[in-house]
This record gives sequence, structure tokens and C-alpha cells, in this order.
Amino acid sequence: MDRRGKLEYIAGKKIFSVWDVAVVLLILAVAAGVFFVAPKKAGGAAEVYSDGRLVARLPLNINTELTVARGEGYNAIRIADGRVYVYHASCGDRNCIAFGRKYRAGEQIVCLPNRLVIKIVGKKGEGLDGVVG
Amino acid sequence: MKRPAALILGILLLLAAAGCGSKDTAPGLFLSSIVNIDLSGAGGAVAKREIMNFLKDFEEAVAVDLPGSDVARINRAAAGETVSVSNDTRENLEIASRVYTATDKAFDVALFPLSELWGFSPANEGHYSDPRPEPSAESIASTLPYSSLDAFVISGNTVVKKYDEAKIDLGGIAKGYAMDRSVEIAKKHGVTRGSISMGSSMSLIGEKENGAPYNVGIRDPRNYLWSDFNNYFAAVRVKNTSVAVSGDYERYYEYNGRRYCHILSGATGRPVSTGVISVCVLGASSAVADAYATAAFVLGDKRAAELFEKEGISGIIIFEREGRYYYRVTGQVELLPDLFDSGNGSAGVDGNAVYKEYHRWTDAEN
Repeated sequence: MDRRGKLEYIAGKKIFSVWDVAVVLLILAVAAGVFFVAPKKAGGAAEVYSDGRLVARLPLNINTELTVARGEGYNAIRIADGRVYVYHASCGDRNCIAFGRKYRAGEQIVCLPNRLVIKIVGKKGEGLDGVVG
Repeated sequence: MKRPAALILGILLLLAAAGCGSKDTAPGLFLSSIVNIDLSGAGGAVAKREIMNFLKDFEEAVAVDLPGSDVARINRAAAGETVSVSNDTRENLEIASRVYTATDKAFDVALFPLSELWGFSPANEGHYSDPRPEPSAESIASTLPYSSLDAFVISGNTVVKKYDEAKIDLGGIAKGYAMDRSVEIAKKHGVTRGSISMGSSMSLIGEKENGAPYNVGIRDPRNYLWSDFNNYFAAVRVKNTSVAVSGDYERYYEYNGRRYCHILSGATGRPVSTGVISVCVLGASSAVADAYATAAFVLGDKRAAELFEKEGISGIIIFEREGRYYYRVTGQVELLPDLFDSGNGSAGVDGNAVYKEYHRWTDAEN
């Protein structure tokens, strides 16, 4: 078989059938789904301080919402996709919302009018296999 | 290779199968508690079915509110009448009697007349937290004489009561017993790893895949307002053991600023008020662990810690004293207190509320 013949042979041979391609795409789709749905590894936690007092410690790997009220004011905090942020607040300037989404140890979100501080602390220990009680 | 896609598919399927293993999980209910079974190994599915069947049969024997159960027949019986019970019920009564004696009557399955009087019996399900005045001192005094395991003569598979009014409720021990039996069933079917939980207790079979112990969080008895069930006080590292937790946040009500919890004292006929708020007991037998956890509420932290040390029981006793929160640790407990509390769900927090810290109690300092 000469070079031209080889090229024709290769061009004529179907390495992937339509179904092969469909199966590969399906597997990739399932793999992507598993990757995004699978729980993320336990990370750090967000410590929430109101007027200097610790009111909650929220692990970043569990999606949570928490509203901290102080006097007339409040801040609505959300943890989603391993990040913490303020999504609603009573104060005028909304600076706390402008801090955006934090997840690195040492990062902070501050709301001066409501005297709220959210501090990201690093991961300690290991993950839990269950909670009883 | 004519079909590279088929090869890729084959490899991916193998990887997927290796990743998933043969886990079988199923939630269910036993005595109003949620049952979670998570077993690894070839026999997991068969074991799970057998466990669910066992739980159904066992509930029919011990549920105080099922008219045909052994317990209901005992409670209906007249004084002097002989009631015969199943082997499972007999074993529960034997364990209950043993712990009754060992705890100087602090753990007593025969306080059911008092539970009814205080509104903590299953007939009040859904209304445990309704505010209500205390029963009268006279009604407590007249209920006390027959609210004791001493009012029963248990011999093999037969039970005879000394008073018509005497009643038992195995709720404080049956879940632990059911868990012990479930673990036995799982092991019989070759299960070497997994967990079974019922309500506030969990049994761990074997160890984790990498040979490490399981990390089990103990629910935080006070800082749970904003995150419900997942806030935890500390975590323990355990292998092949059961973790039983009893807390005063379970079935309680408040009235006139006082908290009334469902654990009653057979000595006073009243809900316990020893300052103990949560007790965790580790041990091979979940039934025994359950019973000792309940007894600790009645005994108070000091006497309970002494008893635990004497009996070689590993446990954590969390209690309140003068507005501060403490815990005592007995026996062999590997604590991981630096694990973060976890939160879940959505709730509001009063920013003026203070996150409650727990301090390890040392007799020398206090």
C-alpha cells in the first residue's frame, strides 16, 4: 500500500462512531456532575463577632445563612460554595457587602455601623464522620 | 484497537465502581427516632434488610404505646398477674435491672407513671414543649411509691407487678439495645466498616478505610439555636464502639422561667435539676451506655464522674454551674475539642447573645 493508499484507508476508517462519541460525552457530563455535586473537603470556618463577642462559628464547607441582629441593625450572612459574604444589611453604605466573598484564613469582613466582624480562621483538625446528640 | 471509546468507557466504569464501593444507606424510624444505616462490604445490603426487619419486630415488643407490645401488656396487667415476654424484652429488663443496681437506682425504667404525670409519655408527643404548671405535690407523692423497678419481680421471661399502677418504659434503653443487635447482625453478614445511628446514639463498626478512627461530634447542648443539629461541642475519636448522648434539650419545657427536662429522678419524682445538661458515654454496649448517660443526669456531675471512673466508663459530662459551662472527662476519651462547631440551615442570631464557652473542670482549681 503506497502513501496515498494509506491516507485513503485512514480517511475511510471510522475510529469513532457516533455512538462512541455520544458515550464519551455522556461520561464526561456525568464526571463533571459528580465533580461539582460532590461535597468539598472541610475547609476553615468563619467566626462571626458582634460587638466583639463571638456569636457563631460557621464551617465554610456547609452552606448556611445567618442573620445577626444588634439593636435596630442587622447583617445577613451567607456561606455558599466555601465562601462567606454579607448579602443584605441594614446599614447605609453597604460596605460589608462590598467586601465580597472571603475564604482565605485571615481575611475579614467588617461592618462598622453594626459592629460586626467576620473573620476567616484556618482549618484545624480533621473532618467529622457524624454528629450525635 | 478497533473501539477506543469502549476501552475508555470500560476504564471509567471500573474507576466509578471502585470509587462507590458497595455502600448501602437507608433511613428509617425506630421508636420515633431516625435510623441511619451506612454499611460497607458485600453483606451490607442483606444486613440492612435484616436489621430493618428486626427493628420492626422489636418495636412491636417494646413500644409502650402499641397495645400488643410486651411493655403495654406489663403496664396493663394487674398486681400478681404473670406476664410472659419475648427474649429481647427479657434481655432489656435484665440490663435495666443491672444498671439500676449499679447506679444506686439512678437509672430506673419504671418511672413511667411519673413520666405520664409530667407529660413526657409518648401520649404527649408533639406537646412535650408546651408550657404547663407542675403537677401537685400530692400527686407526685402518691405516684412515687409504685414508680420504681422494686415494684417488679422479674424472673426469666416472666414479669409480675406488686402494684396495679406500676408501669415501665424501655425507651431509655431499647434504642441502645436495638443498636447493639443491629451491629451484631451487620457483623454476622461480614460487614467490617460502617455506622448505625438511632436518634442520639451512634455505633461505629471497625475503623475508617485508611485505618484511622472515626471522628464523631457531640452535639453542642447550648449553642445550637442558630444551627440546629449540627453545632457540636467537641469531637471524639473512636473505633469499633458506640457513642450514646443524652441531652436536656430533648423533650423539655419551660414554665415560669424554669426548665423541666424529661429525665426524672425516682428519688424526688421530679425532673432532674443537677446542672447536668448533656452526657456522652462511649462503650461496647450501646444499651449500657444509654443507661449510664441517663443515670448521670440524676446523680449530678460529681457523683456520676466518680461512678464512671469506678466502673471504667469512658464519658463526657457537660454541666452548668453558676452560669458557667464545664465538662468532666472520665476513662479513655480521645477528644478533639479544636474542631470547629458546624452550622447548618438558616436561622437568626441575637447579636447580643454570647457564644457559650465550655471549660474543662478540674477539681483542684474549683
